[in-house]
Amino acid sequence: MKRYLAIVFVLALAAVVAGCAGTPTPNSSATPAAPTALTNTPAPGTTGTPPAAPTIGQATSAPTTTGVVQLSFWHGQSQSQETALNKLVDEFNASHPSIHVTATYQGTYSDIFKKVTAAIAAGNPPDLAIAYQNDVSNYIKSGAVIPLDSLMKDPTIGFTAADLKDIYPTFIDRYPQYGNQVYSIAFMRSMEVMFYNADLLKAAGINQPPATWDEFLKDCAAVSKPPNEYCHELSPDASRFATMVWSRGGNLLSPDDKKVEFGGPAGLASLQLIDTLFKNHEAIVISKAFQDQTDFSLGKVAFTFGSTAGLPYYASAIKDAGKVKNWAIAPYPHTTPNPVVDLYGPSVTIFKTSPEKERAAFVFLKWLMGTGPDAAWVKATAYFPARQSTRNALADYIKANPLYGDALNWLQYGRTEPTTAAWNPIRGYIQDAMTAVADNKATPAQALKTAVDKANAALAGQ
Amino acid sequence: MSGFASLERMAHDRATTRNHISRRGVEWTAFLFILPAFVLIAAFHIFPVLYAIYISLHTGAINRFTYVGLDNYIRALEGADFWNALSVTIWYVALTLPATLVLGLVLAYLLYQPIRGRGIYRTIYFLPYVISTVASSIVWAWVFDPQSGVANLILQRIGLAPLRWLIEPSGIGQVMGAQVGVSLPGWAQGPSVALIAVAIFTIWQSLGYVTVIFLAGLTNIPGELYDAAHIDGANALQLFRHITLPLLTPTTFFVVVISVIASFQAFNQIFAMNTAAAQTLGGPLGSTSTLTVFMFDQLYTYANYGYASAIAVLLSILILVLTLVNFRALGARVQY
Repeated sequence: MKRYLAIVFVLALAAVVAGCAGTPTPNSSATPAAPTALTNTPAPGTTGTPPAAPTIGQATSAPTTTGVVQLSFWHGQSQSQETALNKLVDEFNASHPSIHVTATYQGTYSDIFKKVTAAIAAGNPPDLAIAYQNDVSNYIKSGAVIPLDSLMKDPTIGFTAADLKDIYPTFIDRYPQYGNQVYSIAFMRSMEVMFYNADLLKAAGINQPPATWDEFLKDCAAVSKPPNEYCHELSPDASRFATMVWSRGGNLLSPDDKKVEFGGPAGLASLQLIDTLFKNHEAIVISKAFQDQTDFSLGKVAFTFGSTAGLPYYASAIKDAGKVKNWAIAPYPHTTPNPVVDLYGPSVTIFKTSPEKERAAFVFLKWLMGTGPDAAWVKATAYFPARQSTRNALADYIKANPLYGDALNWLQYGRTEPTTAAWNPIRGYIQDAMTAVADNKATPAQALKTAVDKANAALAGQ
Repeated sequence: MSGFASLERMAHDRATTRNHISRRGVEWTAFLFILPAFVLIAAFHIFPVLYAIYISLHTGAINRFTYVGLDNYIRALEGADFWNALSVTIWYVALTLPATLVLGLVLAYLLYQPIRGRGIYRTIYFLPYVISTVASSIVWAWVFDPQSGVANLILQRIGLAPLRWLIEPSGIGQVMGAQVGVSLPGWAQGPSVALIAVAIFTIWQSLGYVTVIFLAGLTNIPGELYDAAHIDGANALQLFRHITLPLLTPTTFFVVVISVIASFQAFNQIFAMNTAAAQTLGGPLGSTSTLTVFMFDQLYTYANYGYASAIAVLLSILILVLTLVNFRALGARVQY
């Protein structure tokens, strides 16, 4: 008897262990039946969308298991951003009874990439996930995500011509290595800008931020008083280098993303600028995360480069330190006719599941980009809106945050970094080049050549 | 029962067992009892190892692999990056392992003495081991801050020039040589200052673990041996040299084997310190890129799954060989 009991116990345990792998896949029969046609309910205040179509069923916050398309959405928004995102998701679920989105925080964007990679290998990816474009390229290689072009053109749920005119083109990611198709769309972007300490500039007799790189160098010579005050604190980063190159009329990669172009005069001049600043003892390099922000708030540096997402943190640090009275942001100095700003941030990609789920996922994504959710998201995060028309809903926010309003004006000058998967390691090569020049380990030409050679090899390996 | 009767009984039992097995076959119940553990080990240990070996023979994206034979291994062994990572790893092990072992033994010996507040000291020395690596790395990034860190304050107090610590990719020999106007050749420049800073953090963190293990070893040494040696007139050094060290060899052997494996697998400390110092993975100009860091980078930055797996397999082989060497070289000297 005891033996039979033992056998039953062991088999039960084995069943429990085996059961761990029993999660239904997106295509499993356990997936609730989706309605045959999904309709698109416009977000509150959405402009340029078709008239409200009737939705299936009654609005309810509680998901049902029949007749409702269940979507899993993996994101990296934590704390107040997660609260704001969950609120939007609840709003969507309430207004779209035939779709239920479950948003789950999955860690940093890097964590999400690791988890999605594992999920793809396991054959069980989410329906939508936030991802950097270079990570999306890796998902494309695995055949795990779908091109969005046909959904964008879909007469029922797609974008209208007015929508496409309203949405900033930099929010729609095209992938030149994959037929220039759209595989991801952003509902948030940040901007690379220059922060400047107007007090230090004024003390040196300078009344406005530099508009050109020559002016920047002149200002640096005027404001630097090492070891107490420096012109610039360098936080080596490829997005900084990218903006420097673009602001001199250069390009990062060829249009097909197959060859490096930052190795030209614009790239060399950018590294030479860093070289000059460090040789003249007018710049220091960060030693801790956000050290540039801290030193700026303490009045130790006149210029830093960084993301507009940092605006609230800069404002808070400056207020706490109480050393800087007048500061602002400006586009990078430039030699191009217009300023150039790097618009970056993760996008949302839709995974290959079933046509119903893919359509439902697109409906959710499009809804997120509606003027109403767009404005709510801006107010919660200080990111930039996807639509030009959202500006009208942000009048109060802009009045309370004038620096954000300034930056909003530069959105029209935005450019985005390459979407190829190789751009991930290339970012590291560029950062190494900047560090090598700042540390005087290599001349600008040597550092650039090393980065270009490695970058071309990475592109060739794609 | 006499000794002879006992042996006779054991022989009878064995014969009975043999007969039992031969009559009824294998005891399948026993296998069923170990099945749950086997399933877990097979799923989470054996399968990943075999899958990593499988992926190491392929290239391409997840779920779209192409067989390439040993290409990834050849690429690793012919590539400068792999050898650079191996060199950094060896420096890292050389910096952390001897220091941790010696300091751990000395601390354990001191904490073994009947001193007041011994329990508190033991807790204090063990604390770094249980504190979150991420949390402590942030504190250590402040310690190594080039502008206002405690490490530079100490250097300046003793008349040395400050260092850039976690953001300095140059070799310590090069940096020190430059302070006195001497330029050293490449081979004499030693590990990067950034790697030394990470090694100091690692020693601080792992010291408590090694100390506790040595303490456990010390408590197993019979006190009568020390009493007898005292009566024979042995001094403290002789006690340590002729009683403590020989009888501690099983513990020392265990600590060496475990520490060598842990050092070659070290990742968290390097990753956390690189992040705290706002550096890319691998530190300034790759100067803290050990094999594990290099492997991680290939996996998640480059998405080179096959190549990263090949590096993992090579690292496993390296650790296996070193462990066998340890067993051969030290195992015979252990006095049980």
